[in-house]
Amino acid sequence: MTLLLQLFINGLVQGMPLACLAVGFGLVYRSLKIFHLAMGAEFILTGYILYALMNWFNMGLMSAIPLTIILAVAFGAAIEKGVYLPFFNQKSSAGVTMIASLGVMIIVENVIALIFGNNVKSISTDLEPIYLWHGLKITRIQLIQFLICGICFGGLGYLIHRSKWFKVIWAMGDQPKLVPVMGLPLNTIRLVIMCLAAFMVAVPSVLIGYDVGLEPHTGMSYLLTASVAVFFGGLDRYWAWGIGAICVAILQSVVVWLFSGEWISFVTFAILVFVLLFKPNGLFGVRKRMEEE
Amino acid sequence: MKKLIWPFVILVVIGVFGGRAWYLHKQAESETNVVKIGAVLPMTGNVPDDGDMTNKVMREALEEFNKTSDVKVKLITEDGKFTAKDSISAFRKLQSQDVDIIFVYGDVPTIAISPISQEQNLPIYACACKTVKLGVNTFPDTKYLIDYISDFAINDLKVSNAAIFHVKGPEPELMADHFEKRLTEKNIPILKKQVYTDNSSGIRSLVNKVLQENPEVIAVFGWGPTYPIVLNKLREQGFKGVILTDWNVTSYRNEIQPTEYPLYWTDTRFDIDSNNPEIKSFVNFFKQKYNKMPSSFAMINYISAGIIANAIKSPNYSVNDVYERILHTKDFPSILGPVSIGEDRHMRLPLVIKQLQPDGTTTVIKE
Repeated sequence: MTLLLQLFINGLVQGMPLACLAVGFGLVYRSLKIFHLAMGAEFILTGYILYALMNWFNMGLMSAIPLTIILAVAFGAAIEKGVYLPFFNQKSSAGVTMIASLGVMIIVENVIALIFGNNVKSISTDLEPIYLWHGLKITRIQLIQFLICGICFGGLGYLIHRSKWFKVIWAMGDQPKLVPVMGLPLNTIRLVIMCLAAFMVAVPSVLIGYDVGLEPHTGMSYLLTASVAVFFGGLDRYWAWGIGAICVAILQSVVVWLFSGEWISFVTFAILVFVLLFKPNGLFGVRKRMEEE
Repeated sequence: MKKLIWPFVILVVIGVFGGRAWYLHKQAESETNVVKIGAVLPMTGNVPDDGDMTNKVMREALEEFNKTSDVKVKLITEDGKFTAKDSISAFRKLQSQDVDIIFVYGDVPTIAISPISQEQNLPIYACACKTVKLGVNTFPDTKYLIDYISDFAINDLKVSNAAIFHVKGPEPELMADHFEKRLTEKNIPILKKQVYTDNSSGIRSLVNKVLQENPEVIAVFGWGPTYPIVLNKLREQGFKGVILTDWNVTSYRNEIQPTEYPLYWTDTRFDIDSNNPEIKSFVNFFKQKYNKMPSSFAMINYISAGIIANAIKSPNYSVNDVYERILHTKDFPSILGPVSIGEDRHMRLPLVIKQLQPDGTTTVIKE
């Protein structure tokens, strides 16, 4: 029973960074209608920027993190300005934009592998302090991940529901064509969405990189898990992304109790197939009227 | 004047063709004493560093050989990209260049090439664990390696129980199965045998699952990005017992956090911090020339190139007997000690047990 509880806690903690990644994916997918594969590139690049700042420029962890996040957000903006916006202006189809996004992902992944090599890079190899409670273990980095990612997820959720500008971002997902009609700066809003998404990816990237190290080919795996969380929870509800992420992470963790590690990916995609087949709008999704579709 | 044009043209044509024929004849003459060795190496793909390093050390070894030998050896490298498909095309390209033997790096390329090499009767020298159909392996047989570490666990550590944690894949599974067999033969129970994958997100939970059994010793067999994470997470989650592993650990030494608790592995005598003058000299030479540290695989591939060259050394060299000569290699004097090719067609080289010290250095604790 202790093991099951431990696995549940591990899943719960892992769910928070995944919730942030789900926001990074969901915001772009919902508002810009882009299957944001380049998010995988943002995820890995952020970790490697931190690694480079600490190892090449001898910066301390605490001073390198803010600069890393600023650079990661700038990269998100560059993807919008250099790739997504030109395709949007040319009225390219979603498929074409997705392929371009995949191209960004592949280029970044290979450039990173070329510069840093394919071997795993550790931001820190120090053993984390561990806290024990009735036989249950939690490490300091797990607590930090849970708290910081929880604050980021909760904070953005609050802003989306309270702030006028953030409401516009959310509304853009429902009626994208109304934004220019209402005289709002569409390109600026698109840029803000990409920057916000990049921020929500950068925070867990730094924390996960610190916990388990960096490897150039992990981006796609995290991206796909985040996308499953969004579809599982329901695309049209912000909080559902978080619940979806926590459910997926707990299931991934608890599956280990019954089976082996090789079943983790199976569970993730079984969830996706199940949801798409039986609950196409997600567990907490909003059923739309036909004229809204 | 017109009368002279045709004889002049004929002379030019004769000159051009004659010159070409003479050049080709000379080239053929010079190549009769050149033996071509092919190499399918991952120059790009997942492990380009390994391919690059192998290419460099093999060229070094053959260059040294060429200085003193009448028969010259030429290395022709093709990029196998560490994939089955590209390795097979690289093999075909090398075959068309009339190489006498082909060196292959890695399990995946070796498994792909092995049947074709047998079909084409072109032997391979594989830097791989998987036994090839026609050729030899640079790695000692897996069972031979695992016998060494399991005997150490049984006889020296006198363990009373153990757990096994291994990455998904045929070779680590073979290691795990053999380790389990050796221990259970001595009535030492295996409390848990757990597989992990290259997905780092579930590692902590898998570690918790293994630690739940309170094993005295955990044997970890694997490689890849999650391998050092597993070793670190075992300690992070409070495991204070002995960790046993194999020589892959040397490739990840910078990523593994040393602790006061013992981590032992089977290895060759090679170590970048070794005090052995020959090893030291090799490491320094490599570091100065290429500005990076050689890996233990680089060392083994350097020796392999030496063994191939040694088989070619005979003045009566013939293409047909190079493979036979390699098979009969016995006590080849290498930097790591005498190397032989065993009856299982795997290299046999002296093994040791090493321990990672709390300060990050390694020490040989059993020769």
